[in-house]
Amino acid sequence: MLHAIVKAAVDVTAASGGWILARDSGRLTVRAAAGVDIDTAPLAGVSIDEGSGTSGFVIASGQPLALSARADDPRLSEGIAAHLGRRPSTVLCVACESGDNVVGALELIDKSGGATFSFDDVELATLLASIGAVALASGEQAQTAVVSPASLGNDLVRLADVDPARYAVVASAVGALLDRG
Amino acid sequence: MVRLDKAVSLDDLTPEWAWGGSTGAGVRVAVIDSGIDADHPDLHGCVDVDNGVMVALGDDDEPFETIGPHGDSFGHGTACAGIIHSLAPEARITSIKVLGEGLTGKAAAFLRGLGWAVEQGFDVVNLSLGTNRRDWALAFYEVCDQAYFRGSVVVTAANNVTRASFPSMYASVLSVACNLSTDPKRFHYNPEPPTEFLARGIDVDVAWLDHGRISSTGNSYAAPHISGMAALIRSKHPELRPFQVKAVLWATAANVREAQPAQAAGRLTNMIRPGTTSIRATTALRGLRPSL
Repeated sequence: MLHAIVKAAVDVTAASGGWILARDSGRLTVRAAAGVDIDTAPLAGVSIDEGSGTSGFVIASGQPLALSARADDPRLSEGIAAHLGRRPSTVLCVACESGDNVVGALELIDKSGGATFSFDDVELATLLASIGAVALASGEQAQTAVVSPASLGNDLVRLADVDPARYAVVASAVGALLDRG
Repeated sequence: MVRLDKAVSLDDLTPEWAWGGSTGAGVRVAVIDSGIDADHPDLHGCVDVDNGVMVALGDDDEPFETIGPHGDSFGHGTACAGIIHSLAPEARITSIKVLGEGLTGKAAAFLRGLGWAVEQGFDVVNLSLGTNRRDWALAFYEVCDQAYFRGSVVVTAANNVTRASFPSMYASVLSVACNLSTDPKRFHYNPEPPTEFLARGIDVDVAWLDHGRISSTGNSYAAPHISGMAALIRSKHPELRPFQVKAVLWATAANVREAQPAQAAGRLTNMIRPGTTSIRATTALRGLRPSL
């Protein structure tokens, strides 16, 4: 399930790769990764301090971030990306929130064509991260409240009402998740 | 008895009246974040380094402050300070560092930093962060009310997700999300609270670590744009209370001045905000126009 979520996030945002991190005892551990142009196999089980990298800041601040730097800028290479031996030029990271708790983060790197991640990408990633939070929380058998299917359904209905085109993108991603899950 | 001897008509609330000629002089702004790189060339020495505060947690998990110079653990606080400085160049900015090593997700440190800012009477407090911990909600509510009554304008970044984020849900603060503008002074009013204002937050070129810059997107960059505007307003009109500053921002918002539906501004994250019908349904704005 987590891999399907990451894959869907990579697909809908046109990222080159991404991963979902679980938060536990002050560490962030890669639970699933997927890439289009990136071999994410080296990330299996990689763990970092939860205060490091973009994901660490997003978890601490509660705010999603989309960052873009020059290709030779090393500042986005901290955290999980460092384990890929790669210098991302763009990073998008959103928190996975379950009830009152941040249980992890979804991080995506290097949007195709050198483009920057858009606000649409932030929203799409946020929606998928909320599904990922459910998977993370249930996987850990955590005693935390999770987003109900009805709540997610209502969000989708609202999106369909206000922006059918974006709804179509999200619906496609969720449909792919169901197929894979 | 309360005297209202300087009555201002709503028709007077133009951008020129509100901040024309203002530089932010005399205004103190607190940035509660990851710290500030005070030597960043974009900040031109606007940071009150000696009176900065770093909040840490003791062995008993109780927060305590250390006053003095400190750096930025991530770059985000420097980015927020740079935005505020670009709008209000003569405002003095103080860093209250609550994010960094050993402080991840510590609502106690965040609350203590906000409480310290309120105690010190900052004119504007920028919070480009929040917590979803409901067990801390009441404590944040009380501190934000204290800020309101003491005259501090608290500006917060809205959350992007369905879950509540504190203190951005409170009426005593100015909650801000992104609009689609590239003009740093062009902001919008959202008639569907709790997020009441929209400002620039997409592809913003901001100051960052290592004295460099970076392009970034997020509501956390929209908030300091409103903080900067609030600093300009408070500099020119120091007598205004927080609710009056909010009213001035409403009256000078682009969509209110131009009486256009806020849809033209962009959108709030309507796909994931429960209980709202989206920012598009704002024809009622015409009825809110100051001149009417």
